[in-house]
Amino acid sequence: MNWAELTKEQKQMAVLAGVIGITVLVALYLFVLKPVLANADAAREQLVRLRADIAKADSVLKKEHRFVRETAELKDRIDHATREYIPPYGNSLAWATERLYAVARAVGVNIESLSGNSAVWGGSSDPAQKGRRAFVSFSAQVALQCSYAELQGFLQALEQDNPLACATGVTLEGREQDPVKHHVNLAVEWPSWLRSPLPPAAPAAPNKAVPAPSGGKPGDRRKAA
Amino acid sequence: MNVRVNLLQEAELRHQGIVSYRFVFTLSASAAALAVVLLLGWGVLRYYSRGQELKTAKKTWTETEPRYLKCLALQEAHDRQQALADELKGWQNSRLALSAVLAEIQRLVALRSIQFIRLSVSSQIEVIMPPPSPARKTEARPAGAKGDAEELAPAAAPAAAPVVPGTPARRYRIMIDGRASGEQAYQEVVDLGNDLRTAPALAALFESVRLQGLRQAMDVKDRPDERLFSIECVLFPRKIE
Repeated sequence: MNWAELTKEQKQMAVLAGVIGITVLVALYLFVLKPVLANADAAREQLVRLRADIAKADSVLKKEHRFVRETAELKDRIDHATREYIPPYGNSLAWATERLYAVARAVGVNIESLSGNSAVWGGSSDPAQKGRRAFVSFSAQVALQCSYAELQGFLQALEQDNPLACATGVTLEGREQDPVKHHVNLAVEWPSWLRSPLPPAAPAAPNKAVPAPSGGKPGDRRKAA
Repeated sequence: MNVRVNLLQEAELRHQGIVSYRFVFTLSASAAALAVVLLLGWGVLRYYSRGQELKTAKKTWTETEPRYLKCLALQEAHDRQQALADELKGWQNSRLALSAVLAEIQRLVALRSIQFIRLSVSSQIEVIMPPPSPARKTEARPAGAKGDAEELAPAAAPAAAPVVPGTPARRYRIMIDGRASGEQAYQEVVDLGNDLRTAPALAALFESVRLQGLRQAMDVKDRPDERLFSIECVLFPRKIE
């Protein structure tokens, strides 16, 4: 085939065929290959994300049994602490009164008066941390008349009775009339639920100062509070 | 004389190379067309292959997702319970066994001619920041705690782990006001301070033991040696975590 021998019409046809061929190629690229590749890329990205999600889910699912076991253990521990060592929600003072009088009776110490109040505790300069707290500090102020040794015994019994009971303040002053018996002001704190741990919460009773009992039982005092 | 007669017309001349231009042109065109077809085929194949993989992955995810969500809820419940347990543990860690401290103080006082007038224990919550240098170790202590009083001696470092930045901690302070008698009353007070600092049961607890005041007891004129004293013991902060 010699270009020079071609007629004008043949040359025009050849050029036209070339142009059409190139146009077809461009059109194929633009309207077929490019969208197909783009879709394939999108599918690949989706696949990568999905595979990452599946891998993440698998790693979490591997811990499922551990979560179940540990959650049950933790719940048991917290339930036990709630039953035994934490003042009940809305009834803290009555509970504290009962516990403190029981300890005082056990060690032979006379409680003169008892009052209580609650406050958010721990990291007061960190509002975020404070917001995460589930407990407030319930504090009972106890006035005693006892010797130094009796105070020790009272504190020791209190510490053994409740691992969460925390003596946060003690003031011990001697008395002129009886150098053995001292005036003792004691502050004991417990963690107390900030919100009710049970969904239907009873209305919180206001904490008031409890006067010294006159021979009554702790249970009676709790009813009064 | 030689005469070269070219009997072929220019258009009739044939290419002298191994392959003709026509063959090169046809081959190139075919190769280009084949490349386009292969490219298209590869694209379509890849598309369908990815589509199939995606379909399989979606199916797997559909099966996994409910269990995963359930497990996430379980994990959240676990974390909530763990946070509660940690909070209670922090509370327990911050507790001071005060009975043991009082017993030890009583034991030390019984060795000397010292009588307590007043003993007070107080505690406060503070946030412990990391000390930038050993010289500023007591930065977290509230202002005015140190005062100008004489420091008897620094106590031993605590065995506990270093305090994490921004950790809330409970710090106890014990104030002992008492009366010392005898010719060496002042020495009794200084010795009591040293005992408080070095006693095995207290050394790990007390950050500092300072004599806050020592003066003659004015209320007993017949005993000029009698001294009134104040000793402040600041305990290491106990982390609430």
